[in-house]
Amino acid sequence: MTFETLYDECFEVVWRNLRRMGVPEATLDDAVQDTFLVAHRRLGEFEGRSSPRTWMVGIALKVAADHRRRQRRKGNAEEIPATLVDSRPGPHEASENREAMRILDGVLQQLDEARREVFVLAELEQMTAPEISQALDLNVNTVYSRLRAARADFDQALARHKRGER
Amino acid sequence: MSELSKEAQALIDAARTAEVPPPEAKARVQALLMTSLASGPAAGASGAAKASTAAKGAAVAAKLGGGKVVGALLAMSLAGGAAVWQAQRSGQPAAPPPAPSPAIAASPTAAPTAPPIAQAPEIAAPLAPAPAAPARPTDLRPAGRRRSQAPEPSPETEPTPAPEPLPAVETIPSAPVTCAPTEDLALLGAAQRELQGNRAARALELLDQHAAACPKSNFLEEERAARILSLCALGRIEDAAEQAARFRADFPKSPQRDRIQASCAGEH
Repeated sequence: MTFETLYDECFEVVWRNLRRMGVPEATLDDAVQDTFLVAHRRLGEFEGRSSPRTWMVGIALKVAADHRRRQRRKGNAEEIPATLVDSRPGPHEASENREAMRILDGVLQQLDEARREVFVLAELEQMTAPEISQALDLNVNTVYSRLRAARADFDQALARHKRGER
Repeated sequence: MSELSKEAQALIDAARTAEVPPPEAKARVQALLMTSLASGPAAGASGAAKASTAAKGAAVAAKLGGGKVVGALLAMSLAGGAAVWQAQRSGQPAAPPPAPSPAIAASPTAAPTAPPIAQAPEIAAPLAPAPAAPARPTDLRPAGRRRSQAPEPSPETEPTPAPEPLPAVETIPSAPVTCAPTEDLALLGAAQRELQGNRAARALELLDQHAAACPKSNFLEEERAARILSLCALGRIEDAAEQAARFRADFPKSPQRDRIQASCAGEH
């Protein structure tokens, strides 16, 4: 696989998972770029044991963790990630979906980071447990246990959101 | 395993459909990547192509999208990145970008002077170890703490391959019929590398190819500047001076003027 193909095929999956993992909109381009720079350096090591998508998602999540760590050091860890990616007015349904995305961002932000990673890949990216274990370099049983816990956490966080709590 | 509540599932389904990157984002990041790849050591999102500081990123994105001329914003370094990109595209083993200095990448004390984002490319890619290999040299996290705590930036320990000459020169057709943005930049990047490698005659050939293949290039300014420098390198001072005079007339505010002024074709 060439780097250009990798970029074409994986740009969107990288972009949205960086967002989901809390990379703010202001630094999203940087994070996407970092992800592909890592991939560029490592492309020769890619052995095809996982799909390019799984491989790229794994890199993206590490980059996201790195960005979050820097954000914390800079003291603005609580910055809400990209809320509305596209704020242009649109049809009602699109507007509702963007509102759903804003709520989702807020709820995801309340999850423990390790659980959030598994949750995002399973529920939003719809990856299988073996794929997630490859992407995150985790035991499959750990994936299942984290997902179970993350689902419970997510439901609770969503309920709190509905009640107007944080 | 417990399932999500219906309400949570509905929220996720709705949100998923809205998670689409802005239409210009892909080209914008591609332009930034090309700049970083061309910038070499210590390049990254903190290097020449940091998105958050770059109006130029947006300008190049417009360029890549076939938009307006904004060539002055990027000098030849962008063309070098395009050559890397193009080499990868052609399926050839392009040289990996040189690694940041280990001293910078590994040392937290470097943070005050080096924007921390520079460490991101040091993150190990998640690859399963080969069957016979005890551990991947690129994955430096101890097995016991993987994902159980925040990973530290991973310092590079493996030998970093030396940058190799880009193979793009050999892959460039002598007279391409069309001139896609990346091909446009690949030719210029190849010419620039030839020039930097003191092969000015070859650089000039590539610039001639570029002029023939891409007469409406967004990078005419860069092409002409490189041509002047190539002529200087070949000792063709009168030709360089003539080209420089035309360049100054055509691009009176060009950021390339300083380079030309410092060359054999500078005004005295």
